[in-house]
Amino acid sequence: MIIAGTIIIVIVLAFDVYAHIVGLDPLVTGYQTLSPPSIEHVMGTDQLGRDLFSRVSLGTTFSLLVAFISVIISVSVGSIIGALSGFFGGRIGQATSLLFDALYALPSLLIAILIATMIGPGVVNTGLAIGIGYMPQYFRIVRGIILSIKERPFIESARAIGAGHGTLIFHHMMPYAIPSIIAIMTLNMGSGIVEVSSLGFLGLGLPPPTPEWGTDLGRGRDLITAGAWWPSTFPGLAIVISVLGFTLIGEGLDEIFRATSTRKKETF
Amino acid sequence: MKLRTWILFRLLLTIPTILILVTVVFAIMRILPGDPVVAVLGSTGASVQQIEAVRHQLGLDKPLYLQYVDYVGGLFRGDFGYSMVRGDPVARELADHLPQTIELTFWSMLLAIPLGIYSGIFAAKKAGGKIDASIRIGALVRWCIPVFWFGLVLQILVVQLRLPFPIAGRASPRFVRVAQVTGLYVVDAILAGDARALVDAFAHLALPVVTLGTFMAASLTKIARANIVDVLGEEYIKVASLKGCSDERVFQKHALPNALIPILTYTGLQVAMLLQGAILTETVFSWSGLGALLIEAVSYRDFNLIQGCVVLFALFVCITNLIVDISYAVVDPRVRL
Amino acid sequence: MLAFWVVCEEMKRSYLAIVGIILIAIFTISVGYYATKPAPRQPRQYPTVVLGATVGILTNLDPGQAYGSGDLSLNNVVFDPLYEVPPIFPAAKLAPRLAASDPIVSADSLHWTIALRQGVKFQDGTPFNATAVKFSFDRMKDLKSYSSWILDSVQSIDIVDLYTVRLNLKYPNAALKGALTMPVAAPVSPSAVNRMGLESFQALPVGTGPFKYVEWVKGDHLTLAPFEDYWNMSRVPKVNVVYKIFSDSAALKLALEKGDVDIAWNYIAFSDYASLETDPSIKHVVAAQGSQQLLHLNVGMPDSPLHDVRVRKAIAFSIDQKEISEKIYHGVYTPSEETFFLPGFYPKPSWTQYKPTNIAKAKELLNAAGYPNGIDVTLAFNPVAFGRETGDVAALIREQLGRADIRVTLRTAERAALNAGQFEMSVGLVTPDYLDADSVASFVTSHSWLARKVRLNDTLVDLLAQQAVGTTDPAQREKTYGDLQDRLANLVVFVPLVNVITYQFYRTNVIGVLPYYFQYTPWWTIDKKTS
Repeated sequence: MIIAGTIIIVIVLAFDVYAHIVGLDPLVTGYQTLSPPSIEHVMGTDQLGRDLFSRVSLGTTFSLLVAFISVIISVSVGSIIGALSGFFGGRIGQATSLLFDALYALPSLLIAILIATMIGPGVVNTGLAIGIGYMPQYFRIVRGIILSIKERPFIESARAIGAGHGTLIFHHMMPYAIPSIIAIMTLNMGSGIVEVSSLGFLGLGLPPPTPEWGTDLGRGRDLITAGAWWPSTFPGLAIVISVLGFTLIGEGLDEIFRATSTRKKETF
Repeated sequence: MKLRTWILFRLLLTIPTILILVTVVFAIMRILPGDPVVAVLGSTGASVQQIEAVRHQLGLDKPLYLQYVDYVGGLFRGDFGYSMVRGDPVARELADHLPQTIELTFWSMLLAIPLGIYSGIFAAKKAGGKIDASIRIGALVRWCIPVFWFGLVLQILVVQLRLPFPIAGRASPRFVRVAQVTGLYVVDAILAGDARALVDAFAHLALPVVTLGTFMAASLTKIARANIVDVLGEEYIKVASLKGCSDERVFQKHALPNALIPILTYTGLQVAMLLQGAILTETVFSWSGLGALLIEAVSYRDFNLIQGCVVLFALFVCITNLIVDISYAVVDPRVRL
Repeated sequence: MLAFWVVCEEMKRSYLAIVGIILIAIFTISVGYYATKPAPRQPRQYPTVVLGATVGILTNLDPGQAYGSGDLSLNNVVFDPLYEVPPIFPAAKLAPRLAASDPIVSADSLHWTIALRQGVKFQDGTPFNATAVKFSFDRMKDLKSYSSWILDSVQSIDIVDLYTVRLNLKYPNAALKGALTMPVAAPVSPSAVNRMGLESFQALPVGTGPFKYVEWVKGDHLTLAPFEDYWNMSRVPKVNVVYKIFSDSAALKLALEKGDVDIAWNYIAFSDYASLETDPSIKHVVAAQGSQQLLHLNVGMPDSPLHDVRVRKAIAFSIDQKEISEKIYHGVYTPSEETFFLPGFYPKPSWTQYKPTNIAKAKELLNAAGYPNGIDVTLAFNPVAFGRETGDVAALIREQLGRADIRVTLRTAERAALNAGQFEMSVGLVTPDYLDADSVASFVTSHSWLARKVRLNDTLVDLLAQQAVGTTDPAQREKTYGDLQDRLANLVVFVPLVNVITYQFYRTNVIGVLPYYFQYTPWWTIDKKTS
């Protein structure tokens, strides 16, 4: 499964790289407006006469980049706060837990919408907006794992020989959380791409005329009744394929990790 | 501890959650650049003095903490404030748009739960085989398709193939509803005994429900299958088998009940995802529910309306979580400590 | 294990029983409630025309408060203002409607005496007279709504006799007659207000107009029926009108093609015009709605090259209105000749000095201003509020300005942020409220929010606007507004793009669909052929 996923991602990236190498321009508006797919324009042109193939291929860069930024942000902040919360426990632990639980109650898209409106468009900004929505996930997992292994004998012994808080958390305890984190990270690359395009679709994503799948989809929506199906179809296909790739990888990883942990359970 | 005490504690926990959310959203909204009064009056010839007058009337020139105290105090009384853009009470706006979202989400889950759980069960029974593989891949792919794109593609297909389904809205213009009892068109049509209106309501529900329902079903399939496979691997299943029970009986009496509880729990926790999907589905199908209301309110910086929507969403999620947790506690006493 | 299962079974049975009882109870109660509710009267003898629209927030129909274009258009046929914009193209003089004749303005221009029409009844049967006018006016002022400022110049109103009122103004305002054409100034039935209470009145207000409100299902549709006792017998409508709200133009277009909608009243996307024009069962009529799309240039932003008027003129010379009009609007919106456009009133092609597009001149100006290598500016716009084409317009402008080395960064922004004046340049839409040049001129005077947004503070502009509205002499007004246009053209704070026109598409079995200005919809002319 992972192999299938990786192959897909490689293909998607290949399109992107090809577009960069060949120097396709997603902004040139000289062509015939709204022409259906043809030999010169494999995916047709949009309402301003731009080549859709260029836009979709180069759009890969942006979607993947923003998703990546969002994952980095949510993993780092969420895990660290989760670890600290689990480790120190007590009032702080309860308070942060309450805070993140509350955040968890809101759909992540909603949080992303509010924050995107607040800080404005841009690659990093959008990444931040999406990342904040996914922090509670990592917080919970890491906190849960830390809590469960906090009292284990090997931690006690490490403490006894004088290990400081930092060493305890990052050297001894975090490694237990890493497998789950990695699996979820990959899955969140997929959800991140979906959220970027959702924001773009709603008009809140990257600033135009950046070729972004969701924004192009949103604009293409009004052209459906005029008979132009291609501006809405191709960007969407790109989204599905890339998300599929990452999800396959993530699910594959998840299966492996679950299999290994069940195996551990059986050897009692 | 006793069930009653536990339930009380759990109930009390909801309040700080919602309070935190309200505060966070309040803070975010006030930091945002942009003034709702200017947003509304800003395509008219209103002078600056007139804008100031309206701002004063809406209480927007009071210091922030006073506005916050006013707002939260109002919430406890059930007063959500007034929509700055539309002028009427936020509570009324929410009440007007709530039935739409309820109808959409209800029917979507009605499709999603049986579809998802049964396919999961089916796949689990035939675990390892081709059918299992195809169901899993199908669910996975469906999960990867963004909700709004799926809806768009359905619309394209209907337009290109000239199918008779309506692609947007809740009902055809010809049906002038006489009685709006609940705001849920299906229920209203039944109460009015109007068969054509009922058919019309369902026809308009078809595409959005398929869009949102299949999406939710995809995640349910995965969980259902995983849970059942896990349960089937447990020791007591082997025992039951060895005792001589037929496979089917083992499944029905032992495996299924134990697997169903975590499955249903998980379903309840998917409310946030459901609402997220609803926001996008409502946009695509021009369904004027809470999601569409929220998007519009954000663009106007209508503070009170945004806060009202967020509170309602949070309430939705919190209440569902509450019900799930309580049912879990009723069934499994170990949880109540 | 078995015990657990048995307990489950027991619980299941009782659960099911409880759930079943609750469901039956709910069902019985709702059926009972519904059965005892009296059915509202349905006017049946008239054919129904369905009007589809994608606009109109429609939350509050109270004419003293309503402000959206949907609300105003509907109120325009349910209420009679004192004066009206006659449904004639191009615009003619304002005619008396509930007033009996033109107002008599006092020598100091501060008192307007208006004679009222006699024999007019409200839709609830009560008589219309000066008391009703004063009641409505005072009420409107009390409501202090978003729209009350339109009559800000009127201090108070006196009853002279049963059919005469006198308006006392704070300052001379020649545009008042225009303001009086808006529904906010239309008389409402005092007895209805007192009888119904605010909430019900806001849902189905009562006026004197040719249509009356019958039903309103919020967010979905509104039903209007003919007021058979309307005072103007030639304008009694012959159809019921159902105003149906669609949230996007694609759905509206499909409904029109299918025949679910008889008239697509507002906002079908341009990309759909071509297919609708070739459809034999659909006709269209053009309305010069009077809006104008412009580029707002913020002259007061720190460190911005836009301080220099030469830079702004360079921008004016680089914009190619024709390309925008043809490429994006398929020629439907035409390039603007005037800096501020008002259909039929005081036209002056003050913008022609910047046409045709002259990139060389633009570069020359930039050079002279000290920017031989061009400049970098930001252009903001809202991608959904004023139509989805706004994004395309912004992209095209970016390209056009790029030809003159003006490098543009595009940004999307919410309405509120745009109006707050956060960005160097923004794409805007100006719609007059009523048919008077002052309605547009007030946008540019320094005490308007728009002037604050772009940091416009020009004494000459203020002076000219004030002069023009202070006199009722048409020749004088024309000259002054002409001077104002010239001044604005030289200041280059607003760069006009295109004039906004609306197409109304309707099915061929509907007759009497007329073009109109802004929200002055003459729907009483509509009829439907049954064969």
